[in-house]
Amino acid sequence: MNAVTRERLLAEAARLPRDRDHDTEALRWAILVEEALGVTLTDDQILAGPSRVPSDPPR
Amino acid sequence: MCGICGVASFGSPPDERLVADMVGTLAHRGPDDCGMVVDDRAILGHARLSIIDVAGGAQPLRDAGRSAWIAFNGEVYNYVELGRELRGLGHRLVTASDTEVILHAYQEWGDGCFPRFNGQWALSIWDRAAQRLVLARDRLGVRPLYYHLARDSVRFASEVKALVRDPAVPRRLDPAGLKEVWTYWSTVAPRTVFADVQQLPPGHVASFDATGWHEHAYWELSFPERGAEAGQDVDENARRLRELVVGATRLRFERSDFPVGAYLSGGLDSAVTAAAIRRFTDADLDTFSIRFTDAEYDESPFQRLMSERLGTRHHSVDVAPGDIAEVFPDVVWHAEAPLLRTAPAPLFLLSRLVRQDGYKVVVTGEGADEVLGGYDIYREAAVRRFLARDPGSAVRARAIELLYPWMVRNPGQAPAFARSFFASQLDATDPAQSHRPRWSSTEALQRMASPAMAEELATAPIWDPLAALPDAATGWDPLSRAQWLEITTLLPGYILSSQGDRMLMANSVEGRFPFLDPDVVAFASQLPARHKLFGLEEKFLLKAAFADLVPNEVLHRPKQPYRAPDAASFVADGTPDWVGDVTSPGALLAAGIFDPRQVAGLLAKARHRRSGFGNTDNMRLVSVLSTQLLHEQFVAGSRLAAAPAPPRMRTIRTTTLEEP
Repeated sequence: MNAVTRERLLAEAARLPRDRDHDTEALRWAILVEEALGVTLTDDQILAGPSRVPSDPPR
Repeated sequence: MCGICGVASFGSPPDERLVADMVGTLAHRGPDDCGMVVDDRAILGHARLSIIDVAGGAQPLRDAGRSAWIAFNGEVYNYVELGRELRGLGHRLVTASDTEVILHAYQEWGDGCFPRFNGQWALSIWDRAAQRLVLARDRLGVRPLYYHLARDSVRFASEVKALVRDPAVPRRLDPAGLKEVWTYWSTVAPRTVFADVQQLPPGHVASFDATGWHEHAYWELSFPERGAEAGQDVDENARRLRELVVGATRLRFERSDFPVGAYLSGGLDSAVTAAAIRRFTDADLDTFSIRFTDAEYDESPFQRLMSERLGTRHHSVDVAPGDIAEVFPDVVWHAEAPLLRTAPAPLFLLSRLVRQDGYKVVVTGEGADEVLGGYDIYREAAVRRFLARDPGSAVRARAIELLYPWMVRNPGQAPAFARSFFASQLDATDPAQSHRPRWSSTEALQRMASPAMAEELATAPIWDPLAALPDAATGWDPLSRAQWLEITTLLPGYILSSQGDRMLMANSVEGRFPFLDPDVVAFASQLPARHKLFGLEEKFLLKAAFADLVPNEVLHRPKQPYRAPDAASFVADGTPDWVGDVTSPGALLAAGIFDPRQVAGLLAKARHRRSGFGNTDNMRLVSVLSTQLLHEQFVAGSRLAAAPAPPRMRTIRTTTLEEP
């Protein structure tokens, strides 16, 4: 995932109400990232949430 | 809206009394006027619900050259613009009706006219010059059109009940049609549940002449290659979506000679259409809603909120389970199909309220979930894909809780539920992966069949989604494939039919659907998937586009699928007599569809509220009752008594052009 696309997703996600629970937000972000970018995250990357950029190459 | 019917025959002359009878049967679709044109080889019949050009729009209508006649059910909303274009090409139009524009458009562009129409229609044209009957249906199947093809003739009608007035049309249920309903929730065109009765598929045009039946698609639903979507900017997409939805809503609200109301469900889609009317027109607005006495299904607080916020005059009908049971036989008569839910019944009661309160036309929010990514089936498929990428991951399994918050309160059940539902059929390479769980659970209904019916079901060939999906679908986004499946199966066969056109027309009300505007559909189809389903946030772009017009309480409320009490409707406050009648051992044996012992067991389970009467049992019960009613009404013919003679029938004979 490149920085430009991550920023676009983050900007779009800002339109939504934030989840108070970090893990819930992290799961939602992971589903979004995998669907939108065609990547597969590790469990650690999922739990990290929007703050981490995954190193996996796109599928 | 209206009803159309007719016969074209290149053998024995068409029967005028038959078509008059068919018209009479469609009076609920067109109570305002009726007419028939009689030619040597064809008769067109029409029952009219007058909406545009009351004086000049009587049908069947002819072109100025008297070479073609049309009987039309529907609206073509861009008739003003098309009429202007046709006049520029030299056509002389003498009425203010959209019907005349359609006929002249056909004269000018032939079958090429249909892609130019923005609307909802089922139409018949008798081209006298070419000696050819033309039938056409709108892109998404808003308006129905059925036909029975014989060796040298065809009969067609808006509803099956008109077709079966002809003794030559068999009255028999088709096991393949029943199997499709008990898999896909509805048949997929051209199939119906009636043997030897077909329906013209949405987006198709057919012709019948001395050489036979010819049919082709003039429109197909398509999606872009994944990653090749045109626009990625959410602000620009939201702006454009807003422009299109507002334009589509205004077109449908303003192009009517009668006042137009709006449905208000309490959800986002109808909130958007009602808000668009109030913001972008000068008109007052009457809104109409269902209020369930059972709080589990009721959305009236959100309906009230929207009505108050928009300043509409609000009307609502209270629906209790007993009300559903009372009207259910009428609902099945109008739906003309087995039902798996009672959800059409409250909509029947709602359209009755609309009519009683003096309205003929309503704008509704149907279609948004299909084209803009609103259904739970889309979200569930996304979670299943998420799980499939690492099925053993406990972290990923928690995504199920995002769909079903109750699992957080009952964590012990969550792993078992996850395994049984989400871990099954996790084949990410299956193009129909999104819909397999629904189809699998619906197939359970087939196990209620009698031994003889089960044998027929086992070998009955039905629609194959993998064969039907376009070749390009392998390159689409998974959401696009899911949308294609939903728009091809459930939308025309159930949502727009049993819950839509049929329940509205039962009370002579026309529904109009801005979200099914061709420009809205085309734009939505080209969107990046995440602008429809943003992770698990449904209808992301629609919310972005109308955040200023819809209060947060509605904008961000969890999606509540429209449902009505199912089994409880028939057993909670006593059982209506008709339930006992259609499920009696004699009735079940006569129909031969269901196993009487299984039906008796299911009814007992429902009556005693035994634990474990879940979703599938509810569907089983509604399916048994509706299918038995369908058999009684159509096959046994209990409701096929002689139709009343249509009042004020105008009969036009082309050979003499007499108009009594």
